[in-house]
Amino acid sequence: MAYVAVKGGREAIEQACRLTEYQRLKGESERISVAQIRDQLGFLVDRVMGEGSLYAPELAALAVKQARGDTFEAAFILRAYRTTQPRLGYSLSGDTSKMRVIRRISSAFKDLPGGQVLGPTDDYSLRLMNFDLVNEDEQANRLAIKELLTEAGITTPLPDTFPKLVDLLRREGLLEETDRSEALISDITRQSLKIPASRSAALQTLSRGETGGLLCLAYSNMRGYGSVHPTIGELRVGYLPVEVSHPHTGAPYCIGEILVTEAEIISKSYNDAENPKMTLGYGLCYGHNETKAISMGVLDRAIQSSGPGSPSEDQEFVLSHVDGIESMGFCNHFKLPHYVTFQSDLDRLRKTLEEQDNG
Amino acid sequence: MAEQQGGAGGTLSSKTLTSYLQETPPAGRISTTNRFAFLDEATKMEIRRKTLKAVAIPGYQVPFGSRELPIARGWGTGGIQLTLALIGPEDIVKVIDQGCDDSVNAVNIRKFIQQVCGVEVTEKTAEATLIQTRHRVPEEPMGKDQILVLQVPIPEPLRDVEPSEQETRRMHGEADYSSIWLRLYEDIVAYNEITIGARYPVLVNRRHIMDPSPIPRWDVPLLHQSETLYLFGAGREKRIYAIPPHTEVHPLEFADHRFRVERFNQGCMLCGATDTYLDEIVEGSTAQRFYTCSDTAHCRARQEQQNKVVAP
Amino acid sequence: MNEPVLAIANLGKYYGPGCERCINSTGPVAATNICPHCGTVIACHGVTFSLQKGEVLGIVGESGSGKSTVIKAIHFDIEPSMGEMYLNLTIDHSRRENGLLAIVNGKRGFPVVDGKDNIFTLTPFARRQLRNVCMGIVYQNPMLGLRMNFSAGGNVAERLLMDGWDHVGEMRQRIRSLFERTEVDTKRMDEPPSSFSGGMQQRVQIARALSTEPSLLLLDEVTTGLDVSVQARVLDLLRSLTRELNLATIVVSHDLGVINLLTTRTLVMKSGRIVESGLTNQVLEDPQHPYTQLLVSSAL
Repeated sequence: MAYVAVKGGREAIEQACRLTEYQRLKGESERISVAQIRDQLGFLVDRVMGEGSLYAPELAALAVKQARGDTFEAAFILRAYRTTQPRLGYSLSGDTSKMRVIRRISSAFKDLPGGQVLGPTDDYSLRLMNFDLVNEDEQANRLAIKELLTEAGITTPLPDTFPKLVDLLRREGLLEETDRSEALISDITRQSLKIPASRSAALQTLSRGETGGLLCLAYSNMRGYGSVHPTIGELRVGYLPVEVSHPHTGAPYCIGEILVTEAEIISKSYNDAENPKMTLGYGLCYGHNETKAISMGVLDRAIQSSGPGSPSEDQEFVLSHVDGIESMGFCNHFKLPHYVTFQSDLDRLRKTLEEQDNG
Repeated sequence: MAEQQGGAGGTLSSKTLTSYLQETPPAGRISTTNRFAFLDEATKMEIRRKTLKAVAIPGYQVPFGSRELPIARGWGTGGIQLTLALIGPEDIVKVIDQGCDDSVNAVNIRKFIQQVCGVEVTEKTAEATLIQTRHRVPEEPMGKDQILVLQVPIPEPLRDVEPSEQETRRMHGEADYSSIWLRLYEDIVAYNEITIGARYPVLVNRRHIMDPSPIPRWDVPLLHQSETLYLFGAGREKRIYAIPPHTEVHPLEFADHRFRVERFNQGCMLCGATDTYLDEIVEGSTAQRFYTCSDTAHCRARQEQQNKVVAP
Repeated sequence: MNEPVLAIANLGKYYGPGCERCINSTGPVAATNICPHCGTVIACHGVTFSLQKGEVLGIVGESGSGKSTVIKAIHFDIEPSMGEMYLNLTIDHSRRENGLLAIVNGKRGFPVVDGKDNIFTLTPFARRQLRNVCMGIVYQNPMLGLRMNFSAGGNVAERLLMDGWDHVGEMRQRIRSLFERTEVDTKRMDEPPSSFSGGMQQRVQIARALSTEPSLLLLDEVTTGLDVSVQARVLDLLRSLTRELNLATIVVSHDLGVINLLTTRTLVMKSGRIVESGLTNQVLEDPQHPYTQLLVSSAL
């Protein structure tokens, strides 16, 4: 009897699932806890929350653990979880001027009202391998925290809120007004994206875009395939109050706060030659992810160009390709069997070659 | 001051994992839900409404708010959402991939549907009320009480000639189909043959050109004036479309270059069928080519029938 | 006199917010088509004319006069801001009654063109059908009129396909005879037009425009940018074709020589308005409007 195609894939699939669990369990080190991921891999958790478009640090940390550190997979698990949750309502529009800021910088001015607040950043540290982390001494760590918090010589506490630089520029008439004409905010999780997309739909799409994807497209624009010429008007990281309308009184009611990164990108490209003003690109994402917020800001400005000159300025191109869950899914679907379609293509090629032999 | 320097979740009084565990009943912990058919009711209603619209305008791609599922985009999420929106506890489900009930994608999806719906499953086409499929239409004729849900990777038949979605939607609106016809003309000029293998574009109800999903050309005639409702779901591209029963479906062709299905110069080596779509198998050591039915359930039924006849 | 094939009434196209003073502060007297108060561009305004079967109408003017806007609005390339358009044609639907292609593009749903309905109010779907069957256009820039990544023959086939042709052999025969008539090397019909010379690309466009035997032919600066000798030969071809086919034709050009050679009647446009119209030889020999006088004298 000749070879017969392997059907009976069911058993093989079960085993494959078990093997991947084995991969997670093998190794002799201690099991990593969800709390450890949440506390010590904060950037990873933030990235997964942003791309998974669900603000839930605990669940994001669990997803990271389950996905063994694969950010695409972890964000995907989070998004799938999101599908099972009912939509109870919408928050009121967030006001980032009310943000409890932990970091706030502007590269447009040397100093600005409220001052530059560097906050926690790796921007100025040398990226040398720190071998001290190989064996951390818990006692020394606790001492270090105490020292940092009590003896760092902090004298003036930060103000509760900071003025927004772009508001100042707007008041001076140097920056284009934001178009607030969109009456109804889109919800891209409920309606499929229509092109041309409304500003709110575009921003939502970018905000849950994959960090690397956004960076790649934004970088192409910054590097020369585009004309945004960005300056960071203001970059802030902090806790944004989330308010909902009180179900009985209708008054705004704060239900908590979320950590976000916001980037306001000023572009010196004018929209209107007669009445030249600087224009703004806006980036906002969950958690602390400056690369993503800046990339988003650049792309938001880029896709507002009329007559796109490069892929990063083409709204449809950018918005259709930044989602990590979709692109990763489609990329990997090519691993599925395609033998039926391939057979059909083979048939065409054989027929075409036959035709050529005859002709 | 000190509190302000926390990282994500540091000082924010977020939900603890324990509270999530308490909220989710143990039975649902793996599937993360205990709701029938996974999707919330509002989502199911939306998908049903969009499906009705699709049925009303055969071949027209209806946009819908495609949700994320625990199965990846591109792996049949459009088809699954249709199935989950339509399924009831009484339904009997069959899932196939490449014509085969045992192929990875089918196994995966069947497992998920069973897990979240607890419905009966079958491999017999005639027994099923709802069949979800990838890349094939079952060989056995289907009836009016059955629905075939096809998984679609790329719903736009014009995508190969026009990359922009904005533009292709306009083209459909105005029935501006010259570019796809031109592609066929150019094929004939260059190769004296239309070179499209699977995913052969069809004209539905004499109005919309439609992508029948990557089924082989073999299956295309089955779409024409069928008894069964065919539904197409594209999860990643967020589109639903339909061919209702008794709808005209014509593959694009010329009077002097007709549409032709795949040819096999031999029959199935297992059941001997010469009227089915076949998989080509290359034997490792001899590099000899064999053919077996792609529709495995149909093939098995034929073999059983033959055995019965031989040994009464 | 017969009913006109094409009638245009009060055609206007504006880009910008518009204000009450737009119309009065633009035009030939103000010598601008940009409203000084709100910046709106009055590309054309109050354009009215009609065209008989077999008549060749010229629209002459400098760049920015609005002449191309008029022809683009008639071809539905741009949506006019105001105005009406009427077509009165007899359309032979026999070809579109059978076959698969006919089903989409055929008679069913085809707009009635008896000169009674304003064509600008038709749906884009209906306008497209009308354009495919009744109009042919040749653009100055072949990139607008041709698909450079398809074969030259394919470019003509595209129009035939939209007109219900469904037999590749018949189409190729038709393309060959069109190419022979427009003097395109038939041996090169399967090559992309990007490999052709400028003059040859225009000939392919002409073949494409004439392929469906349209009732209305639109020529937008067809010879601008070609070498003088090539120009002469293309003009020669166009002159004999318009006479032979007895089509209603509109020739848009800034070149009085082209207008003189091809047209019987002429509209002179400046800053978005018609300033003068009449028989071509009259307009050229005895111009009335100062602008036309300037145009004629500078051309000599």
